[in-house]
Amino acid sequence: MRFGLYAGVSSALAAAAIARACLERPNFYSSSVYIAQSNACLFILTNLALLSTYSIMLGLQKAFYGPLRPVEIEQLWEKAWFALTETALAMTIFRDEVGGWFLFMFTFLLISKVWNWLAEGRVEILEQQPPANPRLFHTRLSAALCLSVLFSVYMLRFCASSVLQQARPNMMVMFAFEFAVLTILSLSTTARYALSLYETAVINRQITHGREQLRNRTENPLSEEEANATDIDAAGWEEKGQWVFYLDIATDFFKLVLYLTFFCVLCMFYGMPIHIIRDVALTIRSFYKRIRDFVQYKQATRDMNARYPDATAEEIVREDVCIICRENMTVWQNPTEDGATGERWPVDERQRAKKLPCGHLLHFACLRSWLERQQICPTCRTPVLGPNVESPNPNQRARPNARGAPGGNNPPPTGPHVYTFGPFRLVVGARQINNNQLPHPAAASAATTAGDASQVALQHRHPITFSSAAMSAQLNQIEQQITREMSQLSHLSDQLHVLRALQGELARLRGAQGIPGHPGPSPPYQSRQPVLQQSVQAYREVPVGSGQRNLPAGMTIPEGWTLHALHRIPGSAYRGPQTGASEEALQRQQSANDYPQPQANQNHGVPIDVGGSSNAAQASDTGVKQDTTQEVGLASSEAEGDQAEASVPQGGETSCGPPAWGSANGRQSAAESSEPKHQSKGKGKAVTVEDDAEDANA
Amino acid sequence: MASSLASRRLFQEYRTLTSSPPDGITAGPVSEDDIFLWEALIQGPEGTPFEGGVFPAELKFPKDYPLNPPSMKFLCDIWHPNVYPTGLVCISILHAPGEDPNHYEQASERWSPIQSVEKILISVMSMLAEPNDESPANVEAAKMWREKRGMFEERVRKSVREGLGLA
Repeated sequence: MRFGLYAGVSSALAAAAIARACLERPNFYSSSVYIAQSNACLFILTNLALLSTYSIMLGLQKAFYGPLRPVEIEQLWEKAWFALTETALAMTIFRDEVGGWFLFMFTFLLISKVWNWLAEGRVEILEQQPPANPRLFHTRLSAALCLSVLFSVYMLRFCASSVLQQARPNMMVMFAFEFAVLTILSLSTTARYALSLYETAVINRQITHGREQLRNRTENPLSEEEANATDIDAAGWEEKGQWVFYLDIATDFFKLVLYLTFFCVLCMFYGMPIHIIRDVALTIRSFYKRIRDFVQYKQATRDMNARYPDATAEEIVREDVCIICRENMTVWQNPTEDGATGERWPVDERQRAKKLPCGHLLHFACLRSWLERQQICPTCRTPVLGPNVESPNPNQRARPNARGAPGGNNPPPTGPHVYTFGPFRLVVGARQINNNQLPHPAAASAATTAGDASQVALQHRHPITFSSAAMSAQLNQIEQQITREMSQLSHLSDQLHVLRALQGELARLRGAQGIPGHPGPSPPYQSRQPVLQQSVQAYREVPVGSGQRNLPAGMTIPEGWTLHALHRIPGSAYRGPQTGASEEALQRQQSANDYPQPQANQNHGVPIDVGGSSNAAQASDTGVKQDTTQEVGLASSEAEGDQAEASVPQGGETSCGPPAWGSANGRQSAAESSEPKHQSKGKGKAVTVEDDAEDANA
Repeated sequence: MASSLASRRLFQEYRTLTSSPPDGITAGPVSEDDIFLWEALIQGPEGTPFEGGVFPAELKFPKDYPLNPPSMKFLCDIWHPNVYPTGLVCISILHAPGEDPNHYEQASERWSPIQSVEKILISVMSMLAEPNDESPANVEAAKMWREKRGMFEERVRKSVREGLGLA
């Protein structure tokens, strides 16, 4: 209605303007000159021209596309605004040439773009659902596509020839470029349409074939109508995804080449075209991503039968629905072994249950179409590719996922990260443990020791079976895990050691130079030996009960207690508590846990590592000894000393301890600072930094 | 047919949803010819200002549905930080897999075929109860929710009443 009003007013205005010119001027020539020179007349006529173009296009659209859906109109507006602004930006380069001709070309460009978008949308709709009137739909669409291709090719040729004729770059370069892009896009749309057509043909063939089979079945054949009424489960054209992939890549590649060419041409003649830098960059990035995706997809889908094992009957019992199609999975039987299934082979092949490296099961075809999009497990998001594929059972591994602290310097490439911030702060990267087996207490406590706010993600994906074989396998794994964590921990401890040394040295140098503003002597460096390795070994030794003969000489322990020899250094002599304040501090610090203080410790002055295995991790920091002769771990769980060996601390309990830092106050006297700073109660990381007489003096 | 997987699965989900519907949620295809367009009714969760309201929404499924997420749009006015003024719902479960261009959400929160219509609707319901104001779709609503909670709740209650034709 409103459009009709507008059209009427425009036509009336144009008619009035022309009539006035004709009436006022004596002849045709002078009236044309008047019209061409009067701005108002020109404006009115241009308006009419645009209006008529629009009407023609509307008619064409009705003829070729039929009524548009609301969604299509919405999309068109969105895209049209984008294209308009983009071209408006490009116009700035050719601002000297903006005029009637420019407007003309621009209108054509916009029209062909809209035309192509419509065709694109229609091809997509075709893929979504079959059209109501296939014949009309296909005739229209193919005609529209032909028109689109022909028109853009023609315009491209026209623009190119006019550029060549003039032998200098002008706005026609831009239009030539735009039409070239459009040609590629419309060709790509056409190709896509062809792919869809081919797919439909393939499916139709499959359906006919399936019906024929039903009809010609030896036993219980169906009549014609029955067969036609039956829904045939067509497999579809499996390679379609791949072809679409190829098509997209080719389109992207040509677009990239064109963009680069245009970019170079503009650079040569006009200077840096800032407005298309973004486009060029985006195209390059998308092309790169596509290539990368393609390579990954190819990798993940190559030899899918070999790469992903068939699911066994037991596994299917456990997880019998494919999470993509939500249909049941059955055990796949090899057609060569079982002749009966050979006939329906293509269908079975598609529904062959496959197992991903992470243990999740999917149909072959579902997996394949998912891998076209992403190369991860849809259930647990474990990458399908990568080093885990080779591992026989990769879902039982801990995956280190070190999160770096901001501002850290030179993190080591693997393992926990060590950072220093000024004289006091020291942050150790956390480890994320992703394990779907039993909670890994050793790993958890190790992570606590290694990091601070470590995040332990424990996921139970499968019900744990409590058979003895499975248990022992799990225990073995736990043991391996512990060993691995221990070695990492000792590595970490070494790093800490070096850092402490450097820190102490720095403090000493600063003190010597008397740099102002320095907060005071920093924590001193104490030579500490990592003892973790030894303590691990110690746990494999037999505990010594009270009253047994192999108790160390002069040692008495209460009834019901057992003793673990943690570490023996042959040949070195224990020097006792009288060696110095700092050493005493250290020893007291060793017993900084709130565990019952065994008598043996006071009676004999032997440094005792108390508290059973929950101290295994802490031993790395608090149980550090200087000139240690013996470390004795007293497993103190009330006549259940042995239990401590096998039992492990509550992972959750130990893992969430906040970092506790005992910061040293530089102005403290040596005597004061030799007081041990008791740390957290058996959980979390406890690192005590104490001042030293030597450092205070320095 | 490319869409047969999608339509089969949608049909299956529809069957499950009708046989054992979750509390406060109804959903199903709008018409028989187009299984890719659903309408859902979500009850406002109890104990929130949305309580008592029934919110119609439209779910549009892509042709490769379980591989890509549907889009969800409320068909009524809803004042919520995570719903665009147009009614489009913005939660991570509805975002396509792959890398997030803004690196805002974790990949684990996003769409995967393991999700379903039911889970989406449940997530939306819990989103109504607990808005996420970190990446608001409706900035005004998020601001109000954060700074003037009382006003936010009042406004929501009013719109719920209006939606029921009580005000």
